[in-house]
Amino acid sequence: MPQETTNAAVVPREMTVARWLFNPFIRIAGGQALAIGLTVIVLSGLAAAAAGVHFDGLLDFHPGYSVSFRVPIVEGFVNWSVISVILVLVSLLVAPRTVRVIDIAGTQALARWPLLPAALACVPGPVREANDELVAAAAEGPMVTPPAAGLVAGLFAGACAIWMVWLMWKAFSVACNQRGGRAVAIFVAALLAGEMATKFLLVRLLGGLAAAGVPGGS
Amino acid sequence: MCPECGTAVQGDYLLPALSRLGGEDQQFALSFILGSGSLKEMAKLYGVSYPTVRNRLDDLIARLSAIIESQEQEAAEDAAGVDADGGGG
Repeated sequence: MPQETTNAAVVPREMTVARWLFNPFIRIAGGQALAIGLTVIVLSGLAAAAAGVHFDGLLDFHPGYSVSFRVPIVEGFVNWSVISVILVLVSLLVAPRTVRVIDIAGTQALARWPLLPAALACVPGPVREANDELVAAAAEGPMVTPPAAGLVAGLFAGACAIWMVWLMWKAFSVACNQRGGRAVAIFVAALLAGEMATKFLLVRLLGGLAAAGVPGGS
Repeated sequence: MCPECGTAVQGDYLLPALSRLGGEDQQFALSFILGSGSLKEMAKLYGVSYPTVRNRLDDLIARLSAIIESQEQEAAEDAAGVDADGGGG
């Protein structure tokens, strides 16, 4: 019986805190990851609306705008569904044997969870004001040094964005059993394609930033 | 020769492909067979995700394929050697 075997034969390594943070897909994938990921996308959208942030592209995180709560939620779903479709198509080419669509979709949804703390970091009043000032100043002239609150939140959001890209890579790696330099190149190409496709789709879907009620987005 | 029990095995034959796998791979193959080949059940049993178990199986298939391929190559080379010897004798 399988109970007689050791876990070491099946589980590649023990789950440490670092692995939960940087590769939770060893333990969570499929429907479970999809349920958690979709919930996180909705929560991130609500937090983003409260923070004046929107996600107008696969890897985009833009604070300092006033947006309807629907906009970042729609953006989150479009970003997730586009990269999932692209990676499913990629998997048909590079790993056609046994890849499941639900693993790709689920792990990619869960990989977007760092956007939640990033958006939450922009909710406090001083950070919102700093971001609003920065966007207004940038629209009028050359870039200015952001206020401290905005700078700290911006650095944190940047770190979260890098973390999200890392998780997206690990999600692809686990869901499609891809490793090595060739897999990284394929993933980067998929990200670039995803970024362009989401930009195009979001403009079409939301009728541009101006139609979505975003100031300065005409 | 085993230094502990003194057992020695010698002969002109190929080990079965499964015997040439490492201990953990053999253990995984055993678990898989005894678990009726259900990756979902194995994932549940060991508390890992389905693709983690499936990737482990894919890696095992790749290693087995390489072993079988090298065995076939060895067998073909041996056969060619016998033919050459026979032709020369």
